[in-house]
Amino acid sequence: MEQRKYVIIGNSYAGVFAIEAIRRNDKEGTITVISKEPHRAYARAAIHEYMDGIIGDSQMYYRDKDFYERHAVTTMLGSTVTRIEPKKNKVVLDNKQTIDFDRLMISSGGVPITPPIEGSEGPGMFTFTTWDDAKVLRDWVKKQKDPRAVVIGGGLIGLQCAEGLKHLGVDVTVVELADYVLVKALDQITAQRVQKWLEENGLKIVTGSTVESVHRVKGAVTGVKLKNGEKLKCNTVVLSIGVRPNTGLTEGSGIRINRGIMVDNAMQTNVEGIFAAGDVAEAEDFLRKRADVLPIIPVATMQGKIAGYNMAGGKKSYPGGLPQNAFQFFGKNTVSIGNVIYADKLGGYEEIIRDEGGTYKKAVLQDGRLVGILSMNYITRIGIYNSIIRARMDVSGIKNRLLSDDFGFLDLPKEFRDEMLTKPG
Amino acid sequence: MKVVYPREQWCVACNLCEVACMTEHSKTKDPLKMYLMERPRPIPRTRVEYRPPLSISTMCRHCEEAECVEACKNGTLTRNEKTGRIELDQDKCLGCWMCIMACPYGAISQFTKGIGTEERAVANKCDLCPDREVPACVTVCPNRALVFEDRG
Repeated sequence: MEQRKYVIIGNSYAGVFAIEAIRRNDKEGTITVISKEPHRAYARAAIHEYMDGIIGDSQMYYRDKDFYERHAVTTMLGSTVTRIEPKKNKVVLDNKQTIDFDRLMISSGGVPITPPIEGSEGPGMFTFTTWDDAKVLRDWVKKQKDPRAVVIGGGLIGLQCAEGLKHLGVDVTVVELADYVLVKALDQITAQRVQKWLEENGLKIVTGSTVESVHRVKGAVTGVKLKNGEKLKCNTVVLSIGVRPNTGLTEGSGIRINRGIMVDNAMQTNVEGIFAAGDVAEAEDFLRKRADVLPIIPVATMQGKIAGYNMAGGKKSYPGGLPQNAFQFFGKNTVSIGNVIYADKLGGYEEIIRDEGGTYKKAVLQDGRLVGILSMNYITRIGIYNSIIRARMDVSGIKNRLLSDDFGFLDLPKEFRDEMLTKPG
Repeated sequence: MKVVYPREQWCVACNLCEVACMTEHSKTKDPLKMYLMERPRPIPRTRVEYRPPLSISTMCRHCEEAECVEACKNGTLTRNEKTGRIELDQDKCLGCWMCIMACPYGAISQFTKGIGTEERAVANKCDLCPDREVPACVTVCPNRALVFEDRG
């Protein structure tokens, strides 16, 4: 059989897991990875910890140095794909070079959303999604005599960046348009507690407003003006209002886009042989039964793995993505799994809340079935709830036990326990 | 591959598996010295649940499609291609708890490594006792409520 040519666009979590899956099933084909970033795969989700020096280079790489060699992968790092030509089975790079493929995976990730803000052109403005972003921002604030930053956007990336800057001795103000921070990840109660904790640790947070203009004197940033009229002195502005799927390279290719690249449960696009995975892909959401972009690591790796298997002739089906977030700010942990915010916004959900001794735990039920779990400051064995949500289990009979600190397998039906614990995982 | 399976009908919640696990992962390999003197003291990597009359001891399943590996952001958790075991590198761990969030068995714990200024919270889980032929918890279990088997 002729060697199959695999091409992967993007070298992050989805790409790495796709490589491993392809190689498990096809030892002969060629694999080429094309990435606009110059680095081998690194922990994108840890750039804030790298910025403030908590971790070094060795903790940033999640695969060995010889990973690409061992998997017989040709890397083209620092190259950008500008166009895909499905009919010719080619991708075109920024230097006009073309690469042939039999199977293509697009995992080009997300790009920061950068709305036009008056005065935003010029030095002192930053985004925060890549390793290089973190290095550039760190070097910049270290050069400032009185480093003062305004972070636009109180989502996960914005707040992690803000904490990193705080550790570097920067005076930080976060400006969030919504009424509270982390509006996409948490319910209002938890978000407000996180916000209070951040403020106790020295971050300033302005909600319900956004930056209208950036002021400069002789080109240098001197402050920002908010929509509510307030003025903040600063020399550094970080734009972190969110990311959108990086779909630009599919223009004119006939690959179907909604918010992200639309894929079926094999992770294949509408064009046969072309797959997509990770933050650029729009795939089925397990709970809501409709397609959505879910830019989190477990989803990117699972999608990459499934795409890889299927590109190599396997048959694996995506079970649907489940929102999952684990994060900590200044040492305090929060985990959320499933739908924890819809209960705030829509009716028809039942909430069980345990709020005592600094711990806040919430379960969200829909028709008796567990659909979401949220926990602050107590995360022991929290992952068990994943299996319960995935099993669409009716938990109305164990409501009184569901949020106990020692909740475990003995609280669950024997058949379920046996299924999980007496068979290979 | 061989992993440890619980047989709950034989478990009497004696907790010896937990003690054997802590001892095996101690410096002295002596339960009393470990308990009294070692700091940080090892924590058990298997967990006994007890709700009379039921009890069961569970730990890492070393899953073929391990969700902890898929959630780990910096490669602290990896699958050893040769042995199939899921390995955890505590020196690399960032303590982000994505693995705890992801593991459907609740088999990964937080552990405070080092003392004083070296103190650092990292993930901890069953490693199937790499220095032993049969994991310590299985050897010590008086009722064969834990077995080391390949159920394919």
